[in-house]
Amino acid sequence: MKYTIDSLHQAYDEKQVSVSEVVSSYTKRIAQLNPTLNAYLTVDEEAIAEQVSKLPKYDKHRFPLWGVPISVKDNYCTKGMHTTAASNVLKDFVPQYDATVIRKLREAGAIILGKTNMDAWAHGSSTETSDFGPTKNPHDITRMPGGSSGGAAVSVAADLCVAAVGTETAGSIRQPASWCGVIGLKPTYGRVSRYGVIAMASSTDSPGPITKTVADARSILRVIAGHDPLDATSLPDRLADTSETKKTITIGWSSTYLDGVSPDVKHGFEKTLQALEQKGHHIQEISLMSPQLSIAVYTVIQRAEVSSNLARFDGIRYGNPRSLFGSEAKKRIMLGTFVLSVGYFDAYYLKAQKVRTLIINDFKRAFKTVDAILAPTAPTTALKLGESAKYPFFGEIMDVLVEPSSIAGLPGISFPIGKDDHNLPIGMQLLAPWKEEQRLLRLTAEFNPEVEQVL
Amino acid sequence: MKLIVGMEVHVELNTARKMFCSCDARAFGEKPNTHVCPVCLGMPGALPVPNREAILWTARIALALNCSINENNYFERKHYFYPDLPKGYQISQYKHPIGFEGYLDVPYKGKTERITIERVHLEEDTGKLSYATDKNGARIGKIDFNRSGVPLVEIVTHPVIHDPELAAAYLKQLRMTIFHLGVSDVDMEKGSMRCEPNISVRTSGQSKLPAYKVEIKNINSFRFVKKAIEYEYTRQQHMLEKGKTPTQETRRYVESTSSTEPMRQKEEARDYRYMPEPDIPPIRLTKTDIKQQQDTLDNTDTLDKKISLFVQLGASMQHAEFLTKHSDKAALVTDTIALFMHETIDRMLFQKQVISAVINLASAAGTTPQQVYEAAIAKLTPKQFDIDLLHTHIDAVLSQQAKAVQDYKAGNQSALNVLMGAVMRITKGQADANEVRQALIKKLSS
Amino acid sequence: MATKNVKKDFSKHDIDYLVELSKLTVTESEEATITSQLSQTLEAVNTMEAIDTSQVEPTYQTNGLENQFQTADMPHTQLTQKEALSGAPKTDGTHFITTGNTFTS
Repeated sequence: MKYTIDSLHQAYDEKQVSVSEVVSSYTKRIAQLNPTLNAYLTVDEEAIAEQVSKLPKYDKHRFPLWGVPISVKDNYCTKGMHTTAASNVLKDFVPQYDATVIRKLREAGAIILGKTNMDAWAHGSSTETSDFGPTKNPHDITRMPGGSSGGAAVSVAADLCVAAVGTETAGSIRQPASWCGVIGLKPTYGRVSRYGVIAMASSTDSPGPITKTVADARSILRVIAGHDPLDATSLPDRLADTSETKKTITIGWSSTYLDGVSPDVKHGFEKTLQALEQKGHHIQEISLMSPQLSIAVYTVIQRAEVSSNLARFDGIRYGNPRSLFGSEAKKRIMLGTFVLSVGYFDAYYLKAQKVRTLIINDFKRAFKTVDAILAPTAPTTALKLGESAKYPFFGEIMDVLVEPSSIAGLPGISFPIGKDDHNLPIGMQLLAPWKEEQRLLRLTAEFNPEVEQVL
Repeated sequence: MKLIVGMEVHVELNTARKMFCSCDARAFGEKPNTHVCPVCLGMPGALPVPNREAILWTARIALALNCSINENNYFERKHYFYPDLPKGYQISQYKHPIGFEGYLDVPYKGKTERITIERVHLEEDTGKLSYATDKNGARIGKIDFNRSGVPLVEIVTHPVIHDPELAAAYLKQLRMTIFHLGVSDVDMEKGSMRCEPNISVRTSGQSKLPAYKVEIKNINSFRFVKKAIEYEYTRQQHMLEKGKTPTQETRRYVESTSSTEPMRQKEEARDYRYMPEPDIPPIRLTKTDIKQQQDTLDNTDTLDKKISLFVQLGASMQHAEFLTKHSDKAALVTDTIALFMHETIDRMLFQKQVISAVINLASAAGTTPQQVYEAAIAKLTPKQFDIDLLHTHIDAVLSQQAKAVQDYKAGNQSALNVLMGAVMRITKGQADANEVRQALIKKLSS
Repeated sequence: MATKNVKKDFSKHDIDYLVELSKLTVTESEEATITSQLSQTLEAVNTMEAIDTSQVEPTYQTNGLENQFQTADMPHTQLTQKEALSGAPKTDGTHFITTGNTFTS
């Protein structure tokens, strides 16, 4: 890949290239490839120029993302720049405030190139429910990139930015990262502030980086993590507080995470497990609750919170009328409304929150004997565009392997481990105990996963 | 038939900041939509962060109302769509109110009525929706969100009030109690105190509560509360006598006719879909927190607030200070003032009269509020001037003021005022001015 | 209100009610598809019923946080009147304006 954060800073150090040149090369490449890929919804050249002109003097220690072109998923509010959540309801919305993550990126010197495409309102795992057309997978443009942070993952895979920020409610960072062959980190819930991120499921939404290298993921996480007084659910801890002293690690795996997984993906999993063993780590089979049980739980909790969080879009203070919601959003709002309705709350929402406790306890029990868990990120590699229409609730089915950890608020990382017979990337995920994303970054770095430049 | 009333009162807290954002909450009278931020405007991605002071003040109110206090507190989302509700839900409390099962003792007709209180909980206020017509004559709504997000305490009684006058007395006592705490202006006119009676009627033979209740909104003074309840009682009685059950609904009070009418909007399915607020972690009130609030109920730094209470009631600064140091006389003043119900006598004049009378008493002991009340009312009621004596005075004036009489008969209306002035002087202002005028006019035209 | 058990499927009447409650609009052609898809989702979600949760309490938040309040120095985005109204489809310069069918136009 052309640039990572480190290699870019090295180029700046050696005065090989200027910010303007770098930014210009990216906007040119976007102009060239975006009409096909549709990764970006907004590229505001004026805003880019303004950011470049306002950069302080180069100092990569004070400004860890100085001059780094970044793409931002279109559910982050960016002051003065269109923010649509890929929905016609917000087609013309321009926020008067920045999300906390955006403020931190700016303060670190990052250059926001533009806003990336997503499933509308983050409802999906394919980026096909966007009101502005699907994003194409650069490995095979007849296929979906995954979602909901599809545009973000593609912008990284196709080198249309140096790094990206996306969000995950259950799978929306990890799954598109695995289908596009890049790295996606879902931090611990509460590690990164949700202020200014258009809410989907309040109790699981986690903003996080999608990058070409593990080091980049770490660099971005360092900038965006931290307590935010504007988000009462943000962790008070500083990232550095999670210390990692173990040299060798016990990696757990559960056969329940291999049910229904395609042969290529299963084979990739086995190879990865072997590689970890060869690096000196212990491998231990454990027994985790079947992720299938999480589908119902996640569907109920997420849709209930979605129905509530989308109630503010009434077209009075901003945005277009509710009649412009797409059919996926309507379905989710209606089911969510149902599970909260009088007489059904106990059997559905309350019940789901109780099963959530079982899932959390299941992980706690597992992490008493293992330090991390390896599993495939998704049951398959990238599907063909249009295939999602076969499923009544595609997103929740496709994300089965990431839902348990999302419901439990645990951190997870997806990294590429090779390709399948169709030359499509296969992604594996590592899960860590609560607040231990540093361990994930360390383990994944050992792999030095290769993120190839596509196109 | 028995009238059954439960009172629902909302009190706006006087905190510096709003309930879930750091906007300045003191925005009454300010230009519209100038005290707003992404949070209280319900913008995408905005998140609520609770105001600790508001929570402590709610506990203070609950303690003043003799409630038990929940140590574990949660907020919940109450969902409904309305233009003045920016998020499409109100952050409120449902299952676990901060205060529960308390009471307020209300002096009433010489006795004390104990009104039991079901709950005291905390929520956020909505924006303000008003109506206008556009240039085509169509009705439009105008919304100002300055008030959106201001902390609001809701106080709900059990349905134990059976008398419209008691309802008004309860409100007065509640207002005074809360005013004393220094947490709210509790001003019905400014909207920092709002009340909604819930009214139903039980037919004889029924032992349980009726299956319906009617909520009345848009009541702007204690006087109107009494009228609204009286009207509703009659309306519901008539329906029940005909064998019909009144509809469970919300109605609005109409000042001009002292009646109630159905609210213009159709009553929608009231399913609030209460859901624990995922954006706000639980709030634990410690025993220390609760004790501190209990202490403020008796604390001397509410002294300033007590002084200003009396000044507000009409006392001079000197008298206000005197009253805060003499609690027996202070109690007599406030208990007497709580009895005020009079329609024709000016409230402020009454209060000043009471204050001056009580201060001049040798001792408060042995004097009841009822006695002070009656004496004040008597003093302020215009007297029926002896009619024969009045006519004698009028005849005397008419014979003395020959020129004015001539001018009046020539068509000069202002000459009447000269004659009136003369009569009022003789009667030392004790005759009723209207009566004098009528009598003069009659005599002059004969 | 009595607590109900799980619902087996959605009828048109149910869907109409949910549409009204959530202030959405659904065309006739959409309605049939939505009804069937939601019923399928409901069936999948009903599998939760069989899980024994008698020994656990619900977890609404996974962070275990408590007592998170506004701080003295928290950042504040004070919007001017102009900024506040800037996204609104209808204003009179000082207020947000709504007309009759706010939620269904």
